[in-house]
Amino acid sequence: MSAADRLAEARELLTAHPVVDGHNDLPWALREHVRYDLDRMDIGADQTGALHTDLARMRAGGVGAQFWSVYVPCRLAGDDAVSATLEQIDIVDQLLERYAGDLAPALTADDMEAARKQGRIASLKGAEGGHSINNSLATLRALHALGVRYMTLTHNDNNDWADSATDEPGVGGLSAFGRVVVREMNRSGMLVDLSHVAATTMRDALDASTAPVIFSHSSSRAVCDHPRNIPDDVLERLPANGGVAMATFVPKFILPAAVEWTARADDNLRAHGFDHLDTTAEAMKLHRAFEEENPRPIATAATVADHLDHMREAAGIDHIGIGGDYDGTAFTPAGLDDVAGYPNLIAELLHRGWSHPDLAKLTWSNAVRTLRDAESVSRDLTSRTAPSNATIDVLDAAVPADAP
Amino acid sequence: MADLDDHSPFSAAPAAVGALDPPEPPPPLDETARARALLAAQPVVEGHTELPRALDPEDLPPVRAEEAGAQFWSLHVEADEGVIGTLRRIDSVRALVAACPEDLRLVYTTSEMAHAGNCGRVAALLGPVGWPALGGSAATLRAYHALGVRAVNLTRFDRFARDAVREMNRLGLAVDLSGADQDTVRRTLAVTRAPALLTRAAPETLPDDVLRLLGENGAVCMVTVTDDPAADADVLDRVRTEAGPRSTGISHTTAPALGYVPLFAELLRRGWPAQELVGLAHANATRALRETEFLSRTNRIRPAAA
Repeated sequence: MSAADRLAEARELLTAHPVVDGHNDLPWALREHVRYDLDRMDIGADQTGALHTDLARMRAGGVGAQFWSVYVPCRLAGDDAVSATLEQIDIVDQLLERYAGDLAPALTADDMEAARKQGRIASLKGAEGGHSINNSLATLRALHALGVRYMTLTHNDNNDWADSATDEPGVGGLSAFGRVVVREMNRSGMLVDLSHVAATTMRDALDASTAPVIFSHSSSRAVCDHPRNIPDDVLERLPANGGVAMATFVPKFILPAAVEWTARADDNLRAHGFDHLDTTAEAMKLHRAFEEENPRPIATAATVADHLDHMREAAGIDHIGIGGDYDGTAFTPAGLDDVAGYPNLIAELLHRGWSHPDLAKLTWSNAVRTLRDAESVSRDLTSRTAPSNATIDVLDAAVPADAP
Repeated sequence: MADLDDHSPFSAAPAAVGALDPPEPPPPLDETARARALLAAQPVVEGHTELPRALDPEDLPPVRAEEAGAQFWSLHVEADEGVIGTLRRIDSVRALVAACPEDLRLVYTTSEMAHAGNCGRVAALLGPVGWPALGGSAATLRAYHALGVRAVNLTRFDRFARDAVREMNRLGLAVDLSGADQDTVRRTLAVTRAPALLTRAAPETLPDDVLRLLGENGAVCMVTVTDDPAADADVLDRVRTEAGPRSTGISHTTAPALGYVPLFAELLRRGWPAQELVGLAHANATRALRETEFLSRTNRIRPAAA
């Protein structure tokens, strides 16, 4: 079978079993580029070059459901983080109103199936980082009421109750309050997302959660040793938990050469007195000079497929999915340049001998099942338990060193 | 029989037994009894209820006047509590209502208010939230609305207010002008197309012409009831005279044990017709809320404000 045939087969498969993508940062991109002015950045029109995402390319990519990230950065703290999260939620709701013909609001697995039948893209919301609730379980419940269906426990920095993969060890995984947050998420029916968190947090959360968890955009640490990826011992716990690990496309997490290249580029910036996340004109100029001398390693659809092959071995075919992180990363793999790229990944997997039923689980049904199971746990917990009003200052009160 | 007897050929005959005498008309009901009867059928929409400081299961449901049929639950927070404080307050009211399912029911519309009453529950409405809790953000305003809040207390006509009021009209959030100075009231009334509420009105702070403006807007001045019916009736008489009988309402009572019967009895003595007392009890507030809902439905086709 030729490559063209495989691509045609991939497209056909995606019409019946479209992609549930775990993470797309379009809302933050709209905030950064145009201060949420949807007239100035119309995803109903072609945004190639400006954004990874627009409706026509989502259609071309075979996207059937999207978790829109209502991310806010860790530099926002306290009430500012909450307010910014509300603004992110609000812009998703505005997109849903404005593009109602293409995007269907979805709060449940049933809503996702209904949207697929209507030929619309089921749209869910995911919060990225526990700082969005500012240590308040009431705020967690408010986010759920506003339609947020997963929360990544941390972003790049630790918060008061959970350790991040990209920060120094803090509470050593989840604190006592962190475990209550997980249980309250189980109770309200919000998926616990373990992307971005430290391996210690992943293990603690798997211990604490009675509902299936997700990794909205993380790949395999065995394939590419980066803290943002998932160690095998954690992947191996997913069958018992019932959750789903959604492989991401971010080259600097998934391609060893790109990990190494990024480390050198960051060192270069730091050597010149800049923070490695600096995006000012001066820093970018330095970065471009570095890139000219050191060509950036290019990931491809095969890189992502390598991860999925391994994740399938470790977690099983029922516990893997896709979370591209489009518009949340500057670079994307060749062939997966934007949201129109998913068929190339499916074609690669067909080439590697993945069957249609396997691919249907990967693209659609694993993620939908996970949400459905979390809903069922929520119904059970809601009928048996009251909402928690625990506070972090009581639960995580430091025990004095000289306590008897 | 007595009537027939009048025309009987035997009418000259003396009446045989006293039972045939016309019955004595019942003595006219005193105002207190009339007020009690009226309020039994026309429960009060209270503009202001405060969340108890601590939710002791022993103290549920919270104390209230027995004539209350619906209550706005204030979501005001201290200045430093901000958005999170408001979200907490919303969560607490929800928890409180959930803890008293036989007594309270959370409602979002006037139809649900009526339905709650038909089911023998006191309707709980979320709001108002305080103006500072919006943080000048339309997104936060919409989030509160999505969480069930139905009134916002506009106390300062700042740069955000004009757009916020229009957005509130679009969403179906009542504009609460309690505590606003007369300048803010005037400027808000010039913008809003829905009737305002004053869930804790203090009419004595507003001049007559502002009361008349409120009347033209269809606003409802919900006044605080005390243990002095005569003084309260004076306040309501002025609102009725200046703003009109459609602009009267009840905020809450500082003497829940006494309830609203003494006030309504006093107003009956002053000649308020029953229909206006029904308006005072609930019909005016319900009408203002329903008009806010209607306006929103016709407005929702417009896109959200930035």
